[in-house]
Amino acid sequence: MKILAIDTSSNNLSIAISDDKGRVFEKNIYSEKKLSSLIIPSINLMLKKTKTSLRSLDALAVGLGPGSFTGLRIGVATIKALALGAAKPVIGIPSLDILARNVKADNLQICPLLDAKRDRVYTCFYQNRNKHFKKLNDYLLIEIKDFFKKIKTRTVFLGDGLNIYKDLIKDKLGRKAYFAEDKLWRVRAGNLVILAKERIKNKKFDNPDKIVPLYLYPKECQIKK
Amino acid sequence: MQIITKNSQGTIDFGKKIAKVLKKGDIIAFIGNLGAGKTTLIKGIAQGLGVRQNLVSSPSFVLLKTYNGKLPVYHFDFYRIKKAKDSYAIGLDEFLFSDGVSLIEWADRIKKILPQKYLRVGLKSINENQRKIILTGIGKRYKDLIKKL
Repeated sequence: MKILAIDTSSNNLSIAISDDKGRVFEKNIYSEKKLSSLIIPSINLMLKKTKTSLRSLDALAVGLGPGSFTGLRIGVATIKALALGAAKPVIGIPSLDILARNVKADNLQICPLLDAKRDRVYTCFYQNRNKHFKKLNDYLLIEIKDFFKKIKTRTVFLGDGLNIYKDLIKDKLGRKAYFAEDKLWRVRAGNLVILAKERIKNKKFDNPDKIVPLYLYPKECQIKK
Repeated sequence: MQIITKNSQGTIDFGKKIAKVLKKGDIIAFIGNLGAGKTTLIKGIAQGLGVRQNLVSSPSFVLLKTYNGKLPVYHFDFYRIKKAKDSYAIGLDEFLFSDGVSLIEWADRIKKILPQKYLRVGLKSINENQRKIILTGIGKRYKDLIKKL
């Protein structure tokens, strides 16, 4: 199945393309404040290198955030435009779900953690038992001090929030805290391809007119999705 | 700290002086009426950071202009912002807590979401040429910064 997937929720622009042989090609580019000029040429190059045409795609997928405000607008708008132009279905997946898939951890709670600035993080909790991945609560934008109160069980952490909070988490949670190695901290479009395939199997496409970034605002701290 | 500048060149020169003590991540909030000298002072700071002066003008319409100096300079103008929350629509935090210097005109319009630490610069017009500039350091970094001026 041919899918073009991108995630732009952080300063890492992640692009992946899958082919009909089940292979997934992925590229990650540091895009700090240059995303709008990088995104189209980078997608174009990936299509060329994998000898994929837009018309041959089965679907396009995009990471919805939470994360960089501008990054998400650019990413979602780009995928919508390409999908519209090529008349292909679109699938949007929250970036925290994509990030959580970087670890397998059978017996631990999985917690992706993204820096939301001002001592806040974007986060969610997941469980992976018998290859069954389950999201345990709503997506959160939460102050780091309140975040610790939520953790009752052994948990593996990953995500760019650890650049800032890893030591603090170690201090507060001690033996309850496990950390994925730092190469697993990025949101990777390769995982987005896997999640998109699951959605395609269940025929759950998104309405391209209605798909929007998943923004969490400080005041209304929780939303359901 | 308070100073009175004699004319717009004096305001620009004071801006250059401020620029010398700035480092990446610094945030300055400018508060003063139309014509109080906010943009003039910012021109001085930007020039002091190596930005060509004629590039600098109030981004009242576009909300944000970015200049490339020794450090990236993010020049905000919230004159036409009604609610603090609206400034999220330009991803404010991604600039404030980053690798550059943030200069915010009409910062009183986004009081609720100003960070915990910043340099507050109040400007008042005394007469056609003279301007009163009042600097207040909010947080240790900015109290120290004022001492260096």
